[in-house]
This record gives sequence, C-alpha cells and structure tokens, in this order.
Amino acid sequence: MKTRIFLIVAGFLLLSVIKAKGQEEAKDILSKMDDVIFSIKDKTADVKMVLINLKNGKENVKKAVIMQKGHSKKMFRYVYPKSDSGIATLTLPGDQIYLYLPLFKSVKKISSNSNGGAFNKSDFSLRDTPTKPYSELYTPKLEATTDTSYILTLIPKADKWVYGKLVATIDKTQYYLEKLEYYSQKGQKLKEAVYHYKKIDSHWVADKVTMTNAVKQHKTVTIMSNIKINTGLNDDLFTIENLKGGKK
Amino acid sequence: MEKLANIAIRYRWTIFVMVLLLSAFFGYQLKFLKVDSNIVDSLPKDDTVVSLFNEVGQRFGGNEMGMIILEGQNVLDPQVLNDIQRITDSLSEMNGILSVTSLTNIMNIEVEGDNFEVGKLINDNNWPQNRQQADSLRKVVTANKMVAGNIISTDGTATIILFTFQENDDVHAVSQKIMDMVKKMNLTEKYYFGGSSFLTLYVADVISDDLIRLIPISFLLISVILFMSFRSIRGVVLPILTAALAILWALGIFVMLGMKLSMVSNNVPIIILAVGSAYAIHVLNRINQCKEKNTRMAIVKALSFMIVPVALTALTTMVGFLSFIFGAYLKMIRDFGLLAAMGTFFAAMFALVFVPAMIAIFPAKRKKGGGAVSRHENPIMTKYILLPLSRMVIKKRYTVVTVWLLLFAVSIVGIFMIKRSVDVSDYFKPNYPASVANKIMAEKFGGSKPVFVVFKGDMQSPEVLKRMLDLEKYMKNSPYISNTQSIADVVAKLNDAMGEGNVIPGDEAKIQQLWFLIGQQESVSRLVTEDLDQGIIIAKFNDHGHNDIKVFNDYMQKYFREHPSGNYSIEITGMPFVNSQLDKSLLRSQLFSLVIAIVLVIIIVSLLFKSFIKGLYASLPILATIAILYGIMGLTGIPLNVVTVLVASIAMGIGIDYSIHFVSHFNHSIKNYNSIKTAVEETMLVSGKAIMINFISVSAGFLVLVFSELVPMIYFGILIALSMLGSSMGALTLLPSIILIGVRKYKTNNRVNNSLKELPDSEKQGK
Repeated sequence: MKTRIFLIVAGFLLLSVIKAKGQEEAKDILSKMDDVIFSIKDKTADVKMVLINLKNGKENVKKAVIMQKGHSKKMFRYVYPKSDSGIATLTLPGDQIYLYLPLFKSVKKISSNSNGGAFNKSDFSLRDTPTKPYSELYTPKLEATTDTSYILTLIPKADKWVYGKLVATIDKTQYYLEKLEYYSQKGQKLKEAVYHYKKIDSHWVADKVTMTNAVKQHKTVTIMSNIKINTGLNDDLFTIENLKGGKK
Repeated sequence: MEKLANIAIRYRWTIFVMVLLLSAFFGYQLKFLKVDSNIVDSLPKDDTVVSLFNEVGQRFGGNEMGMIILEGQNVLDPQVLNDIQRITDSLSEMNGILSVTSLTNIMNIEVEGDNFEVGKLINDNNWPQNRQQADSLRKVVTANKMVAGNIISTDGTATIILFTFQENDDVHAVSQKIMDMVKKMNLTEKYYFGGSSFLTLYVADVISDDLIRLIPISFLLISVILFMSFRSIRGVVLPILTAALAILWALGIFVMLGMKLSMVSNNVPIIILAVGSAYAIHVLNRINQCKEKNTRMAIVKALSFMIVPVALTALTTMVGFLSFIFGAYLKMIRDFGLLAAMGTFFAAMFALVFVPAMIAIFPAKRKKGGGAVSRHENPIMTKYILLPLSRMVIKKRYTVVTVWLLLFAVSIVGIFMIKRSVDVSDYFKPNYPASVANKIMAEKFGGSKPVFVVFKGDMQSPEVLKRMLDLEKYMKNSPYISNTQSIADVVAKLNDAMGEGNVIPGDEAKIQQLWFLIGQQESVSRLVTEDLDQGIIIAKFNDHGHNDIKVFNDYMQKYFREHPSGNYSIEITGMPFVNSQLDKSLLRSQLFSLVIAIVLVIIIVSLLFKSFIKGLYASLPILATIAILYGIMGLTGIPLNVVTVLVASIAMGIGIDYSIHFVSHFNHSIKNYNSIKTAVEETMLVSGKAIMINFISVSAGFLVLVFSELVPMIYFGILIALSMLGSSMGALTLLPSIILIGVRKYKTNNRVNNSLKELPDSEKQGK
C-alpha cells in the first residue's frame, strides 16, 4: 500500500516537473521569437500590398512607403493608386492612430476602439501587428516539435481579446515566426499569416507576409522591398506635422 | 372489360406480390424526401422583378436577410447586451453567414473636435456595468439616428441582430442551425426569428407537424366513416390501403424525379387519401351491390360497370391537377399538379386492379340472394337521406333548379369581392411566433420586408451619390419607409467627420479619399459592389394592406420619371415587389388553369356521353359549385393565396366525378327500368350512396385541415369540403332535375329516342 502511494505521489511530482519544464521551454522559445522580431530598432521599406478576393480571384494593388521605429511608432504613406496617393497614417505609443487625407488637409485621430478591425481593405487588423512582445501578451504552451519548427499555442493574458488563441510555428534554429494562425474564442480558425524572411545585416526581416482570411475568403500579400534597417530614424519623423508634410 | 377483371382474378397473387415489392421500393425513396417551402425559389427565374431580386442577392451578399429580435425592458441592460454579443459572435463564426450586424458590433462614426472615431457603437469604454449605466446608454443610443428604429427600437425595448446568408449556401439549413443555437442559449429575454428564411422554416415545420399530426387523424376519420358506411373491415381497409399505396408510389416517383415537397404539395397525401379512396369505395360498393352468388362473378360484373366511370373520373381529376402544370406560374404549384395527378392515377389503377385482386384473395361471404354479407345493413343513409332526396328531386325539379340559380346569382356578387393574399407572414395565426415577430418588426423597426433600389453606375461619382441621398429622403417621405441605408449615407457622414458637412463632396477625388476609410467593413459590402459599379439603397417596407405596394411603386415611378438618370440607371426590387408580381400571376395562372380544367373536363365528359349537350349537363353541377365556392370566398373574406388558388381546379377534377358516376349509372339503369323516374331513383340510391359516402369521407378528410397551424390550409380544408358538398349535392339534386326536365322537353318535342342513351320502350311510349 505504501509503495503504491509512493508511486502515485512520485508520478504526480514527475508530471509536475515535466509540465513546468515544458512551460519554461515554451516561454523561452516565445521570448527568443520576440528577440528576433524586436531586434530591429527601425526600418524603412517600400511596401506593395496585393489584396485578393478568393471568391472571384480579383486583385487590387496598393503601394506605400513605411517608416517604423521600434514597434510603437509607425508611419504609412500611400503612393499608389493615385486616388490614395498622399494618404498617411501614423501610429504612436498607446495605440494612438492619426490619419491624414491630403485633399481634406486635416489630421484626424482615429479612436482605438476601431483597431480590432481591418484597415484599408487589408486582412491585417491593427491587433495583428502588436506593439508589445508576444510574451507580454500571451501565455505560451508547447504543442509539438517537428524537425524544423516548434509549434506553440498562445493564450491571451487579457480577459477580452479579439482572438481566442494563436498557434505559432517558430523556426527551430533562427527562432523567427514562420506561421501564425488566429482562432476565435470558440476555436474556429479565422486567419493565417505565413512569413517569408530575408537576412539583412544579420537580422531576419520578414519581406513577405501572406495573410489569408478563411472566413471572408480574402487574402492580402504584403511584399517589402528596398528594406533598410537600423538607420537611426529620428523621433521627429513620427509627428503629426510630418504626417501632413511628408518628410522622409 | 371482362378481360381486366379476369386478369385481376387470375394473377391476383402476382399482383399482390408486385404491389408489395414496388411499395417497399417506393417507400424506401421517401427516405430522401425533402421539403422546400421557399416561394421565391418557386418563381420563374426569367421574371424581371425576380431576376433583379436574385441579382441583388448575388452582388450584395444576400437578398435574404435574417433577424433575431430580442425584447426586454431595456435591451442595453448588461445581461441582454451579453446575450446579444454571444449571439453575434456565434453567428459571425457560423458557416453560411456572410455578415452580422447588431448593437455589439455595429460601426459608428463619432466626431469630437479633431478626434474621429470610426468604431463600435458599444465598446469597452461605454459597455454598461449596471442598470443605471444601461439607462444612460439607452438615452444615447436611441438618440443616434443611424441605429434608432433600425437596429434598436426608439424606446429601447427591442433590438435586432441582423444577418445575411452566404450565397449558394443552404439558407434553410443555416436558419435551422441558428434556431437550434439560440434555443440552447437559454436566453432570459423574449426572442423571435424574422425574415423570409425563418418564415419558410416555420412553414416547413408546420407542414411536417401537420403531416405527422393531421394525416393519422384524417385516416382515422375516414376509416370510421367507411366502417359506418360499409359495416365491414374490408370496406375500411381496401379504400384506405388503396389511397395509402397511391400516396406511397406517387411520392416515391416524385422523390426519384428530384422534386421537393412544398407548402402546396404537402397537401397531396391528404388529397389522395380523400380522392384515392373514392375509386375503391365505388368499386367496392358496386361489388357489394352485385347479386351474383360467387365473388368472381361479382367482380367481373362490377368491373364491367365501373371501369369506364372510374377511369373517366380519374382522368378528369388528373386533368384538374395537370391543368396546373400548364397553367401555373409557380413551380411549387406545377409540382403539386404532377404529384397529385400521379397519385390519382395510381389510386384509380389500384381500385381497378389491386382491389379486385385482394377481394379475389380474401373473398367475403356472400348472401344467398347475392351481395356481400355485412354485419349490419345500413338503411339510415338510404331511408333518411337518399330516398327523401330522390323523391324531392322528382317532385320538385323546378324548385331545385331555381334554388341553384339563386345561389349562383348571389355567388356572382361574391366573386367580385374576392381578396388576394400572397404575403407568407399572413399565413400564420396571430399568436404564432412568426406573426409576433412580424408585428414587432412592423411596429418598432418599420417593417421586415426589404426593398432594394439598385443604382448601376460609378459609385464614386458625386452625381450618383447625391441622387442616392436625394432618393432616400424622397423614400422616407412616403408612409411606407421609415429607414434607409446606402453607401451615400456613409460617404456623407465621413465627409461630415472630415469637417466638410453631412453632404456628398462635389469632387470625386475627395470621395475616393473618403473611401480609404470605408475599408472592407462588412456593412459596406452589402451596400456597394467590389467593382464600385453598383450600389443599393436598402429600405424596409411597412405595408398595411394589399394595395400599399402598388401605391408605393407608383410613388417611386413618379420620382424616376421626374429625375431621369444620366450615366447611371436606377431599378427597384424587393420582397414586396416579388409578392406583388406573385399576386398578379396567381390570378392569371388560376384563371388559366381553371379554363384548361373546365374545357378538358367538358370535352372528356362529352366524349363519354357522345354528346356535347350531355357533357355540359353533367358539368353543370360542378360549374355551379365552383361559382358558389368563389362567391363564398368573396362574401366571407377568405383570400386567394398560393394554397386556396388550387381549390377550384381540384374541385373541378374531384367534383365532376360525382356527375360522371351518376350519369354513368343512370345510363345503365335506364336500360333495366321502364321509367326515367325509377332509373333516377335507383341511381340515387345506389350511385348516390357511393357519392354520399365519398362526399362525407372526403370532406371529413379535408376538414381535418382546420386544425392546421397554417391559415391557408384551414381555408383550403373548408373550401374543399364545401366544394364537395356543392358538387355532391349538385350531382344528387341539380343533375337529376336537369335530366328530368330535359327528358320532359325531349318528350314534348317527340325526340324522346335521343333523351339519354337508349330509353326503354315504355318510356318511349310515354308511359
């Protein structure tokens, strides 16, 4: 009898240790992924967005120039099509978003209330490009390990979050994000982002992201070219004045 | 004719086994039987109103809107809002749902100085935590013109969760899933489902319930009546079995042809039960009446009498049903015609082949003097109904004709008072959830029937958008429209948000920049196409009466005439217009089907009697009955709808049977008796008995429909029973009176030889 009790307790202890070890490992992997993503201090690039309606195959192309410092300061200035030319958005810390429509010559602050939704017809919502590391926003769980990747489930720490969970596929050697699947609170798969990377100055930079929205049957392919990183972008570039003026 | 009787007797076991095997085969097909009760699916696709309506569905993500209505003291109470969010989230994730709009996800444009909010109306910042906060929020939300009266009632006591269905998805299966899902949520507030898909579902539910509930009652009732009439188990089993097999075979083939039951064809089992049993009743009655000592001889003799009338009555009934295939506008009515015609055919076939075979297998003991042994003779019908009736007809033939003429005259007045109703929401009793939902939608949300004004042109053109806004104002000035939505509203609102007023900018480039903000919000894809070449104004139509849509259409056409469009076109469609089209077509198809049925039936009956005049005589009772039927509909306010529209042609097909049986029997009797009066009396007692049994059982079968949850079905049951009363009484009073008057005239004109077939010598001499 004593032996049995001992075995059961030992089993529980062993399981707890394995579980804790697994959790630590998952946290470590996610933290390393964050390091890859957040290792870039600033970035400029030309962006081409191809918006594809999967129901009828119709494509719509938009082009913009992006400037980014850290992950909380970002400016998008559209150059194509002609009708969007000059339209710009500025994201500042605290999820503040400003919009400039050149023909109206005024800057408007867009409420953070809308940032769960898609912007300018793309399948990326503002929540999809978090300004904080994933490890701060999500609790990871290691689901599987393949020859080349780790598969983590990320559960949001916040009670009310636009997604129920994320499933991240992370490269085993370089720790960059290969694929991110977005699930609803009820576990239905909503979207999937597939990343392609390019090594610039020893940093892995995503130069192509394909986001597929299974529910809306829509896809957005974002292709970055002319990427420059860590050039020491000045904070002055990320101001409302510059949003109007278009200083590069 | 004897040959058929011999075949039935000789191959009785083969017939029995074959019927059994084929019934098992057709019965198996019923496993695949489906119900489709959507009227729009049944409309011809090439109809201009329908095709535009369908185009709206394809281009703007669903012309079919569904809605869940929630009712409470304050729908902004935290508990209710949580429920709204649960439903909204579940619907958003459901396959088959294209878009969902509710209080918890509806977008709102707010401008406060340079702050510009394109966000959710109710969000984390203003989500109420208690009743007090909910009351404050109610004041704000019900004051918002974009949502009040649209998604929340102006008093805050009701809200709707509006959704559109994915194109090509099974809308009804998705609606059923939604119903099941909401039921499982155990909501504390009252909830209702609205929109045509749910109405169709309710109709389908009621159809299934009715089939399960009413058919057994109908069977039971008919069985009781048959037992009381024949006083034998065989007299109950054979007619019921004949009808049941006919239903089975017809439905089996119907399924194999890929057809679906509708709110019209679901009546066929009851119709076949009533009609189909009649053939067996007549055959059985005749076999029982035959004096031959053995069963085989009785069958041979009875069939020699019955083949022609049964085949002919089946043919005329089939003509009544088949007239819908050629005359009807709705596919569901054409399908009904085919199914009922097949059922009638099989019922007649079984009556002439299967019933004799069964009697040959299970012969009844026969009386010494002939005739089948019944436990009790049934003198009541003969003594108290048929005999007095025949004596009255013989004595007072002119009075009988005068009474019928008077009834006819009154009916003509009623015919001009007939109303029409095609709105499915009118089909339910007032306390049925569908009716309650409709009432809430009408009272609190300006109606539930969508109207679409389709603009075809450049949807970023200031000219087009300004016209849209102007037309919306014009529409809201009519008493039928309280809310409208369009992309022009969104553009004007955004322009306002950019500080340039709630108007459409005059510069197209500015509109294009505003479009940047519109993004791919789901609500926008419902208002404008992806190519920006079409846009719609969505409005809800609140009608109060049958003529409203015509008045509204005239009002809209006036605007279109006064404002000719330049580089764009404007068209209007929507459920009320589809209903209006249906309404017009119902009347046309009804008249056409009826004319086809009348002409064909008169031709067939004339061919039988080899005389057009006699054919016309035989048709008079049913023609009078149909006139009286319409008269009653007009005088009592029973409307003409997709179900009651069938009554006249069905009555024509079934009702003529009585006259055919009567005249057919009379032609046989006149050969055996010396007096026309005796022949009439004998016909009334023998054939009249079958007619009476058939009338009572058919009427009872149909009257069961008064317990239906669908109002048109109740009317349908009453009207068929009334038409059976009319045509049986016509055959038993008007027809013999005409025969008696006609013969007297012939005699007066010394043309007695041609009176009716061959008269006996005594009659020819005027004895």
